[in-house]
Amino acid sequence: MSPRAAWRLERFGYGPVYDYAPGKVDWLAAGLPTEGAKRQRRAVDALEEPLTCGPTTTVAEAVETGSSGGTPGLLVVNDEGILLGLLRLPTDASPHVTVEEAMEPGPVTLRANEPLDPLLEHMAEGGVTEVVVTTPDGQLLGVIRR
Amino acid sequence: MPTVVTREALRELIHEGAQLAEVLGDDEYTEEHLPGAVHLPLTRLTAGLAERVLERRRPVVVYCWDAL
Repeated sequence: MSPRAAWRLERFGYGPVYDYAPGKVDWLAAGLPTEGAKRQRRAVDALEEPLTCGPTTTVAEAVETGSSGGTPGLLVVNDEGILLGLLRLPTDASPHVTVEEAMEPGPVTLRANEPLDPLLEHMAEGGVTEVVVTTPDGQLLGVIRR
Repeated sequence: MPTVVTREALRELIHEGAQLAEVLGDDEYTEEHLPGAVHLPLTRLTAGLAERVLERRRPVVVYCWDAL
């Protein structure tokens, strides 16, 4: 719809006219703020701080970071905040290797616009204690814990 | 010819004073829209409506739900 609206506005003499083609869903999925009268609860409303480490951290250091417990593992992110993997804890990996060598690449993620109440129900049904939320660009936003 | 922009470019345009217009229907706009966006539904988009909700001198960014 937006391309047609943009062309029509140009026809009316407006300019410059831009089309945010990725649209509202892209904005919501990135966890950015919105306005509205009937805004539903979304994953972005329940985000918690995850335990993270860099890919070059040793497994020994990561295990120490994760020793506070209550988490299925450490999320591995690069300097730009992009989610690279998950180091499950406890781990059988050698404490001397880097996290990048021991992690599971590409953990399952959700977007920030996921409706929250059905998500929490699914987590309860499946016995899932934590899910990871990223932007469409792969940037880690946080975790939802149950 | 309208220029397609990414989320990052959109945020920059808003920062620079562009006006934002959602072209979806009434319910979708009322439920949730981007901060500061005016309502300019495509199905009722006439020159008169545009004149009432948009400022001529500012760049305009339109959006709908997604690119599909």
